[in-house]
Amino acid sequence: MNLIRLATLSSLAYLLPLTLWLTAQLELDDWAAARVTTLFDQAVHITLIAQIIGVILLFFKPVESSRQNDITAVALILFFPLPLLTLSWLSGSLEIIPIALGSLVVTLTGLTAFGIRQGLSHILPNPAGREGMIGALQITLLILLWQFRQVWWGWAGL
Amino acid sequence: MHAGLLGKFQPGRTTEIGVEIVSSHAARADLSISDANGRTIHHLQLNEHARKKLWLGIKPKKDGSVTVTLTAPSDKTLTHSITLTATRLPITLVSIAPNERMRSTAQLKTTQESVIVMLSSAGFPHTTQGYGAVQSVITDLESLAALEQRQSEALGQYLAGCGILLLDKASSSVVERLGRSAGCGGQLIRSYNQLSEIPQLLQQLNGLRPPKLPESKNLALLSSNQPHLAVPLYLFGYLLLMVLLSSLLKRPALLLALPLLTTATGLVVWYGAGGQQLTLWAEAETGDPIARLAAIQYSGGDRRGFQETNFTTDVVITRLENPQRSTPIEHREGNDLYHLTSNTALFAPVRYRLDGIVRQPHRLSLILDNGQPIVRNTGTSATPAGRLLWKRNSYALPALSPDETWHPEQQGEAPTTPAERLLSRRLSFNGAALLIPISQEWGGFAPSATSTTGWLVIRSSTKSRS
Repeated sequence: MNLIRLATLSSLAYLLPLTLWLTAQLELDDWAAARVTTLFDQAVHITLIAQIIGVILLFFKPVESSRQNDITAVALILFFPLPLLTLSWLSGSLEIIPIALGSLVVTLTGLTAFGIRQGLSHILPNPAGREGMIGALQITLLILLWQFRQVWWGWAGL
Repeated sequence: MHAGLLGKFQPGRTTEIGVEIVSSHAARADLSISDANGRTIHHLQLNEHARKKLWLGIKPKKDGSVTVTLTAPSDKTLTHSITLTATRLPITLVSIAPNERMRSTAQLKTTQESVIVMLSSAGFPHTTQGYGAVQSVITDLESLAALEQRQSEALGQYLAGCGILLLDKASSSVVERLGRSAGCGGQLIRSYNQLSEIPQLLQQLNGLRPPKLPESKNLALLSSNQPHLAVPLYLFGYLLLMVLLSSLLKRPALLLALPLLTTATGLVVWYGAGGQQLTLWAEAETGDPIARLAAIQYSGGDRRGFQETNFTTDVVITRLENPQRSTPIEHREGNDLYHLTSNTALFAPVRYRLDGIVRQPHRLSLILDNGQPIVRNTGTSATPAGRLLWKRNSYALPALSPDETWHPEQQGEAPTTPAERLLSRRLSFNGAALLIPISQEWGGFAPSATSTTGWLVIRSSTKSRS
């Protein structure tokens, strides 16, 4: 399985249940406008967390991949929930800049995860030790982003 | 700047303030009112060295405060605040001959159900909003004759909305003449000879007053809530296409085009000026050419974008959103034209409640003959079909041709639609009323671009009920 397919599957894996949950929750009567905004707000937060998990896990295991595929895979993870994010903006839940800043965090996370894998593959020649180290560092990155999610959400204005 | 009704107000109700502006030169200016209803901007034209007196409807905040700001180009901004005194009880406005005032106060205090505001005729409200907390008016013909035109119009609107008026020693012809243009068949206008009659008369007339129009929450239930299938279709359709394309495409990089195309489609469909919707509920007594009206105006909600609505009729507009976050209501001088603008989001329409009076004769009469309802078309053209609500049951009322009468013969059904249920709750067990769907053109009330859903309720006349 190449990285692009992996990116597609991982995006579907969170977006399908999220869409199911969201559309089931959308009781679109006129008195629930505030609730709709909250729902889309929650959906955006879940999307960004899922995207971050996606880009970190994408570079967790070494997969035969070209540089172009790597970029396409990250772009796919970023672009995949665009229709949902657009709906979120249309519903007034979030403005464009926070969504863009949130996506920037996802991109930087992807680049960091990619950098960790590339860097360590040059430093550590032993494949077993290298994979262990990559895994440990990327899980640490994941935990850090989760633990400090309020910080970067606040920075992005989410 | 000073407040009407001696600065007394009932929380949640409208009242009025008088603002006097003197300008040293001719200029356009904006007068901004900040109250419990958010911001309302009045666009004014000021003339050189001319004194301009305005009476403006307001809804004071809980603490009674209202802030008025005057902004003129190239001039400083002037800001004044005024604080009104809250009263829990509705107001009885008294304007009678000075020698009678002391005695009338003593008499009225025995009722204990309202706050008495003693005024000269000059203190009568100048706007419909000025009567927001007024439950009854006790006055004499001299005071009525001394009213300015604007005050007379405001009093006329108050009476049309079934307000109580007690007149000191007025002849029956005067009462009858006033009653012709008043609501509730003019039955809430009475004459009295002795001050001692007032408490009993007030009690009696209060019992005759029709119930208040439905609350906004109940009116909102009447709106047609179409399920928004477009959103699930859009999202699931996109996911399905993504799955299909990812398995079909030989160049997976092309997959990136689909989210962008879907996003563009979403923007085309859901971005731009949205629709306007009006849910309208009007109530009239049989034979009354006046209907009291409450409506909810929905702006947008089906799209994200800028919405604009104009109202040319004199209505009291109340925001149902957070007033502090909403765009101001604009009021253009001279022609009572309200200009409502807002930036709305998808699924989140901006809502306003509108209260007013519509003078529109209806053709159906409903009389309770020995407790049995009889409906008659008194007009010259056929009436639309509707429902009769009687004894908690709903009956299908057919379209009636001129002079045709109808009475329920078959067993009624339990009220099913939200409008029937709402009306049923508003009727006493033995009371009867007709529920007639009304169209966009009814009363000339709805702006032309607005889709209207509305009902006219015709109650059996108070006389018949009593």
